[in-house]
Amino acid sequence: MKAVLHVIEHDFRNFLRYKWWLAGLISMNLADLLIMAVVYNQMVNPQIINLKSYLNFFAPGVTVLGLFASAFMIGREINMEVRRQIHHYLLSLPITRFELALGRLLAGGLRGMMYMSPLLLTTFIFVGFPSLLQLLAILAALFLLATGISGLSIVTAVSTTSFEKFVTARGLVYYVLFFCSSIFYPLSLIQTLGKEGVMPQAIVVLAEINPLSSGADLIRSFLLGNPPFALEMVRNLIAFFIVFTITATFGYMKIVERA
Amino acid sequence: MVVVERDVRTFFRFKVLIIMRAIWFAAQVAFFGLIASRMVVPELADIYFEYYVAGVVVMMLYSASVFIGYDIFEEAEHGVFEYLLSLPISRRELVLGRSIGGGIRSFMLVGPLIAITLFVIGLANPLNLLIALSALFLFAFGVSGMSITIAVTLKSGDRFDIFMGVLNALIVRLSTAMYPQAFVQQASLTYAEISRFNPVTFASDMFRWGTGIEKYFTVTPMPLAAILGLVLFFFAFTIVGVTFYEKRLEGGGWQ
Amino acid sequence: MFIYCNPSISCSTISKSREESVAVSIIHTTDLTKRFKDLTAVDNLDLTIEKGEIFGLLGPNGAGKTTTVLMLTTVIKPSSGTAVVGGYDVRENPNDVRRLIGICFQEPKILWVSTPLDVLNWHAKVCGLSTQERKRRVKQVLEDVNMWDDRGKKVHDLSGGMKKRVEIAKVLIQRPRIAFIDEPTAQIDVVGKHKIWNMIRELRDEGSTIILATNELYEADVLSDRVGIMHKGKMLVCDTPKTLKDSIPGGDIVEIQLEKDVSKKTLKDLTSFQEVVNLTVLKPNNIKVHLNKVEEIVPQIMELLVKKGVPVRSINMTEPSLDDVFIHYTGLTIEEAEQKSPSR
Repeated sequence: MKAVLHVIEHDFRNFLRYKWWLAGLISMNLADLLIMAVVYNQMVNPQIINLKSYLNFFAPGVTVLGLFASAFMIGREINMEVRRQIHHYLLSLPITRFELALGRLLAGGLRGMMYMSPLLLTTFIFVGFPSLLQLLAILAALFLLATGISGLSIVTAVSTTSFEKFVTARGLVYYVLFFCSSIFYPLSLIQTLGKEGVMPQAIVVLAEINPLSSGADLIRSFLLGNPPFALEMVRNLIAFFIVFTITATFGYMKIVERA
Repeated sequence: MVVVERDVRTFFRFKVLIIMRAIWFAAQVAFFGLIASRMVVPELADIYFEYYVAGVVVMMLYSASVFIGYDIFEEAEHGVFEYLLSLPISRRELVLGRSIGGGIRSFMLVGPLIAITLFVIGLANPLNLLIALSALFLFAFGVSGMSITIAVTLKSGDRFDIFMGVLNALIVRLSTAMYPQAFVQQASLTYAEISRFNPVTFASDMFRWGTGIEKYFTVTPMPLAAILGLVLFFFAFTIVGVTFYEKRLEGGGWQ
Repeated sequence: MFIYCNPSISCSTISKSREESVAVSIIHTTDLTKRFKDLTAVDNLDLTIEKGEIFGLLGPNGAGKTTTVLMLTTVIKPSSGTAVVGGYDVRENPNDVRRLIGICFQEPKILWVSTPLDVLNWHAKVCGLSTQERKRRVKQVLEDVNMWDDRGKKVHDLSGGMKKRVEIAKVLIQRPRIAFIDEPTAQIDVVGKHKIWNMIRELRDEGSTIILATNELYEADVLSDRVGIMHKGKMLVCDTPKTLKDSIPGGDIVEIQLEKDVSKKTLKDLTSFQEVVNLTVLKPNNIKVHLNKVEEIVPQIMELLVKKGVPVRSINMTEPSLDDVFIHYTGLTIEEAEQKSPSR
């Protein structure tokens, strides 16, 4: 356990060194909320989103967006370490491979949690504060999401051999998960477009099982009552967490030693 | 011209970057544009998709034009800078060449996307489009010049990154790239005032005017005011950029 | 492939029995091999390193030194063969191996956003040092490698030599039972080199076994108790530096300037010494002698010349270097060997 904590400490320290990048990211997230969402508030039809305010709808989405971007960062670092063979140092330490992999995974998730906490607080200020039980449920759900994202990022990083391939893969993951989700628009609208044949059914299904959708909608269900809470949200998050935690842990262990 | 050629050649070696930009455009248009157009109020519903696609083109042009600033830091890091300074080219020619090169290559990148946009939106008046594209050229050069100015002013890769991130966050969102000025005004008068004088607004509105989407204008009747705004923007950052570049270029101190 | 081996100091398993070698050794490999696609980087390596020695692993770039080090430190897995480090098999018990070792990599493995202080503090924590001991050692070592003033700088802003100092500082703080040091003084200035050499000797004197991978032959000569020369993935020779140099026939050179011309009879008497391999008359009063064991033979030569009434004006003696040893066993200089290396 101590070794895992050391690894988490290592990754946390590195995370805080990227102050500039974090400041840039948070300014973009806040700009999305305080500018884009405010303007869209005037433009969006309240009947479509089943809410009076688009800002209230979007705020949980921005929280999940921020969590995604920051939790995904671990993959970039791992990819760079493997390319520059800095990972040899980590492999030479008195830490088992499992401890190393688990530490990286948890660090990625915790970094995401840390980064998104001011965004979550901002959401509560705009939308309203949850009860203690709801807060614990939200944090637990976001932790599963963050750790799963960290796992996804690690899998992407260790599956790509060059920086260019990694950037391409990362971009694909980003864009697909961002836009095929309920971060910016309600899931019900995507489903309606699917029924009309405007959106391919595969995209609709992707949006439904997308953990970003589940995370954002879970927060909305507690704070806004819309969409209503559904067990599918929790199921999706748990499934995502399990799949990518296991894949990332064993993938990292196997692939960093590959030489 | 040799400087311009060099910058254009270098850019197109970054195939991944180009692919990523194309994917980003496709994702924005195919998902966000399509779905958001179904989410908006009825008076906007029939035009919003085309409106948004045109705005995405300008956003892409902006982000591609900014890239020259990052190149400068790469060059400073790898010592290529010293090589450029040793060439038989005046400093003024060097900075003008970088600015124009940065603009041209971003335009070449966005060119196919403009074609796709025209396919989606349709083309009302070719002459208008030609004028609009010329204005967008000025916009691209101006943004490159701005990026160079900021890069040589800050002389720090980290600070440049954060500054451009914040600027990007604000400049695109406080413009009419994604939403008409009328709605910006309803949301906040302050935002509306900033948006009114934003070069991204001028460029977005020019492109929409060029493609015939005229329903939601911004400043004064198009296109003169927008063209004037872009010309001023171009001259300001090209001249300012040249001045800063010349003064700050030598002497190292890059971080 | 010719393999020279000193019978009293085992490097391969030829002279002593395998069991005896393993009993006194801290590292032992048998047919250790590493293949990367078409390239065999390490080819059936048999190596024994004894406890408490500084073992120099020499060879040109591409010889397989770093790959050998990476296998022994469990960073990469061997393709075949066995390696036992500190009594543990690198494949069966890698975690136990890593508890005994410390490594200074050839290229510093440090993230550019970290600072030297952060890097070393964390390394010391992972290696199990107590807080008090960690603080003491980190400060001491940073001062010793002249990095204390730069401890807060980002690694990105450090020069190559400074990064290398941070890299070697990790091992010096950790003080492991077995230290692998790959190119310890690359990019470091002369004063720094000597300081680091002294620190390496201190580490050995405290009981650590040190494996020094380097292509700086002078460094290996100065530091190593024994030296193994690798070429194209194989171990060519392995012995003390002195013995290896003496193994070159006529490797020692003595140039003697005489007060008067030397006679043919005297020349004949000089060549009668068993250790004299070759004698060249440069001028009637200037001769060059190629011989072995110069320190034993030169007094006898002087005695002979005095007896013959030929006063000596001056004498110049040179020993072969490890470079000469390498040339002798491979027929190539280090530079030529690097150029021909398949990994280039």
